[in-house]
Amino acid sequence: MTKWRYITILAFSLFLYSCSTATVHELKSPGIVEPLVSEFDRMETGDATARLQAKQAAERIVYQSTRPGAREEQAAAEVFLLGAVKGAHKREVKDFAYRLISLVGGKESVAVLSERLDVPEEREMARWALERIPDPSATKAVADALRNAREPEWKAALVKTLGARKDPSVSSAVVRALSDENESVRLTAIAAAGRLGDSRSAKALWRIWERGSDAEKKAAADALLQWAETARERGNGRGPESVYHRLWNEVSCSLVKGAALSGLAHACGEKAMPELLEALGGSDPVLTGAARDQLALMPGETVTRILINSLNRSRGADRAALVSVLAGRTDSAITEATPVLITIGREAVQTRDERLVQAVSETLAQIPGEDTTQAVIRAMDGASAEMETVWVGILGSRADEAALPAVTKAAASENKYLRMAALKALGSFGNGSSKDILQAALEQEDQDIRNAAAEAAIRVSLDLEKNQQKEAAIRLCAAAAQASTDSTLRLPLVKRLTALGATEVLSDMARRNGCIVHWWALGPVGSRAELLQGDLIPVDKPIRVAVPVQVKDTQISWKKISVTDPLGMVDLQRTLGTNGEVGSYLYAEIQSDDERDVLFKIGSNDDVFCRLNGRLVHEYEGGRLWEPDQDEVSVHLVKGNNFILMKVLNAGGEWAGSLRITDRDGRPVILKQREE
Amino acid sequence: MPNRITRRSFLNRAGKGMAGALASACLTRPSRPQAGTAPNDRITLGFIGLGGQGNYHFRKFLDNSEAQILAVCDVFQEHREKARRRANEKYGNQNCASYNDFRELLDRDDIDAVVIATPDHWHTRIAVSACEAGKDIYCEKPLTLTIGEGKALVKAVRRYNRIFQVGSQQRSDWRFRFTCELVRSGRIGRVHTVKVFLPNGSAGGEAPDSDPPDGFDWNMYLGPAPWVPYNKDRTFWNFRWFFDYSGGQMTDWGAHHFDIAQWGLGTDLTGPISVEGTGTLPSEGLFETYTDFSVTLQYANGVTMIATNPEHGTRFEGADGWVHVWRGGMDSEPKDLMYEILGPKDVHLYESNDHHADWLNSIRARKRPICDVEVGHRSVSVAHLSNIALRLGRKLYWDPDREEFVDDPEANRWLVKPYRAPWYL
Repeated sequence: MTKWRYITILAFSLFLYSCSTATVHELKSPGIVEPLVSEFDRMETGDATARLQAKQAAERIVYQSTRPGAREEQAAAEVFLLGAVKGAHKREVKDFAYRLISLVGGKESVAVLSERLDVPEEREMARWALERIPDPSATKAVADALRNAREPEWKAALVKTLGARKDPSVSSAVVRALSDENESVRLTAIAAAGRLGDSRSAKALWRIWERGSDAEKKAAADALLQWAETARERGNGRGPESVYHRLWNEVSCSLVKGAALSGLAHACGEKAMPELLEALGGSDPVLTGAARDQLALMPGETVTRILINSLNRSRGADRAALVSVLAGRTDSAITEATPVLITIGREAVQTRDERLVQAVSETLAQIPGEDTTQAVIRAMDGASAEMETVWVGILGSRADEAALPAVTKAAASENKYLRMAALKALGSFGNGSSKDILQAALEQEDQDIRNAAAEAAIRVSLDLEKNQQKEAAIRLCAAAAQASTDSTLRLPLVKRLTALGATEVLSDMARRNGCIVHWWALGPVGSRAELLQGDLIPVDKPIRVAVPVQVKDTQISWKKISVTDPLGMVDLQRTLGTNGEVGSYLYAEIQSDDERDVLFKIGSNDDVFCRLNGRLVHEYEGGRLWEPDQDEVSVHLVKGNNFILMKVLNAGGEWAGSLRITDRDGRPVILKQREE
Repeated sequence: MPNRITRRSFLNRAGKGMAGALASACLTRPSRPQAGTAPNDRITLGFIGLGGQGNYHFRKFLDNSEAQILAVCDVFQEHREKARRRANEKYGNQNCASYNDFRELLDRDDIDAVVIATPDHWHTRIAVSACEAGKDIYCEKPLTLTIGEGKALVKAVRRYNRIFQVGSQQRSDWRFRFTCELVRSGRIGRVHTVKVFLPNGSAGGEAPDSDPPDGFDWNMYLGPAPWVPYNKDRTFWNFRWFFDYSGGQMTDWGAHHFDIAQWGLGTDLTGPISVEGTGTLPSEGLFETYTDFSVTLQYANGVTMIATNPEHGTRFEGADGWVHVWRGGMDSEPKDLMYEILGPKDVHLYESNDHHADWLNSIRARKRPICDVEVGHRSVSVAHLSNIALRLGRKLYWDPDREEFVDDPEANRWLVKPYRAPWYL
């Protein structure tokens, strides 16, 4: 197509436009038409890149024409695009124009597009564009086309557009389609009627519900649910209520019945209580769940009491769900749930229903007031250790000081699990008076007990510090750090000890563990990729750490690091401040009184290469989380000075390394380390 | 190395009384059945879409003793048959069925739930059908193609009381949760800016149009999207670079990092009030979506959100510091924030450390999972709004309650995209 032909079409379009639009007397071309002509020409004749760029340019012009206050530009774009769809273009170009028309078109476009609904190869895109044009005339154009349509696929396409437009003014056309001879047209019409929200559609859908096939009945039920929502959005109050009521009463499918119940609760509020209670007390889990969910959303003590009363009738997963719903109730009636929850809790432990135990624990933890605390304490009397463990856990969650004596007593239990639960609960109370119990537990042989006490020590130390017992807090945390093997406790304990100003304690703990605590770090240097292949500094001789190192074009200084982690971890991410795929070197010197064999126990995140006295003694390649002593290698120390160089690389994210020295039996070997 | 889940597990135990109670309650027993759930008690699954991400989910659920995969569906025969064989090998039977048309899979009464991992333009239609069929749903992100789809989907899920997990799995990663807890607990003071760093989009797509390969149902692949000739560069991974099927990196990764931004701001169920920005479109090839961009969104609470490239997580900036989280790690100022122990009075968000398990648990408990449909809809809406503003080239004002542009009917046309017949929503 030539540019001149475009312009001819455009001129004709402009003429038609000016004739048909009374409000726009003179359409001044605001300078967008020529560029559009040019871009459409490029789409027609250019190579792939030219076509892409032309489309982007045309889109830009058309989209910008839709800005508020640019009505003339938009009109010009619209006229141009209408000319384009009437012209003799490639299908791709025409489809593109239809898409743009859907975003700028108005009444003028509807007139042209309705004609194109008769052109077999274009009608789908014309319908597509009409679906999006907000002007009401678009609905009528589609309804008119439906009247003349013959092929079932095309009828269904038009019907679905009427549904998408949600315009009840054409409900008669949709209702007619409900009795079409073709099933797919009928099913599409059912869905469309559900989107219209007018009474004619509802009546027609009920007729389908009464007389249709199974597939049509299911579709009609779905459509009626949608219809009710649309009607509610339009402020039609009673229509939706009657739809929900009738579906509730007549439908047997749980899914639809449950949806009707939910709709009823939304539409009628507490007036739907009889239906909700009927469902709640029934045996259909779908309906019970729907009722429970709706009741949970309804405020008020009455509803809370209904939920509590229904607990006794409930069973299985439904009971756990109901108990969980109670956790969200905040009115004062919730305290009435305590006795029944305690009873259910007992049964749940006996039947080993873990989900229900969790739900009861959660809910009892949330109910306010000392009465509930006291009820839980009373429940501990004569309870089995397993049962008592649950109650103690709940008391810990409640953290009500009134329960501290009972929990303290449980912390002396002979039963390991009860004792662990009580120690953890003491952590929740965070009361400094627990320090002696925790100290004693930290010295126990059982590692699980020690770990539970170590966890509690963190919060208890906060209280000790607040009450001017800083030394006691340090002793407790130091003991916890020494006693615990739970790696998840290490960082919080380090943080506490650091906050308490106990860096020497930390460093000393690391040293006593055999860790290297005095390092010099160089980094970040190079990329991980190049450092996996080789080194950027000399690695076979002792290093003069006072002398900056030339790495490529940059001079970098060694940075002194004193480790404050009890397990000797150097946090390179914090120390060197980066998280990319880079590398670092860690350098240390140790003095051995004798020549001897020892074990190097290395941890890293990520890759690590370790040299002793210039010789590579260990390498690990790959990403991993840091843990202490991940790798173990036997090495030989010379008498006197030994120098260690570790290359630790980062594969992204956290970045760390450590080295601990032990004898062959795993006992820490504490050697003098160079500090300055 | 990215994860340190164990540390966070501690922080939650220490900081949150509730979790302490649960841990205690379960001390005497393992928290999950050791030998797996009896076959009759397993949640039965159907898979719809078995490309890259679908296959990932498929493998995860195949190894999950709480679930049993009964059927698979993909418009590419090779994908669905490979999955069917793997399921049958795993279970030692021939019970797994395969389908080309998702509607046949949804017709099965013995399937409890479906995993949808198709290209984005199919998500909503299939998910709504799944709701109507009474299935619970795990749907990949980005949840929708348009904001209108999201509104319709939320309604359908609520209408039929379905359990719906959106595949924005960063919510089940302690690091993202902890960051949002720090922000919402006021640790960086009043938040004024959130920076969302998304990957650059791809340019390219050089393949010529051709016939589809054997066993590839191109018409069904397109589904509700406008018809175009088959082109291999429109399929598999590359679908995301076309506006008919997706929204580029803005939606693809935006569904992750905008999601975290919304979580941290506590705007899960709302959105910005204005959006504007600039972007670059590919200059050659088939691909259509933005290769780089900078978008500014304003929230009603005064927070400015900036979305730009390249990818590097989400950074919250406040009056007293900042916290930055990405898939590989986190950083903060002051540095100690990262080692903070949150107390009982701090904000503790929904805790999930396994996105799949959280969905299965939610199905059993009939409760909303960590990334419920409405959350996913609102998160991807931020991305859709950004794309719309870029394409229209002007500042747009958004009413997050009505979910419409303010006094801008032409912009409101972008909230929906018609479906190709015979598909409808």
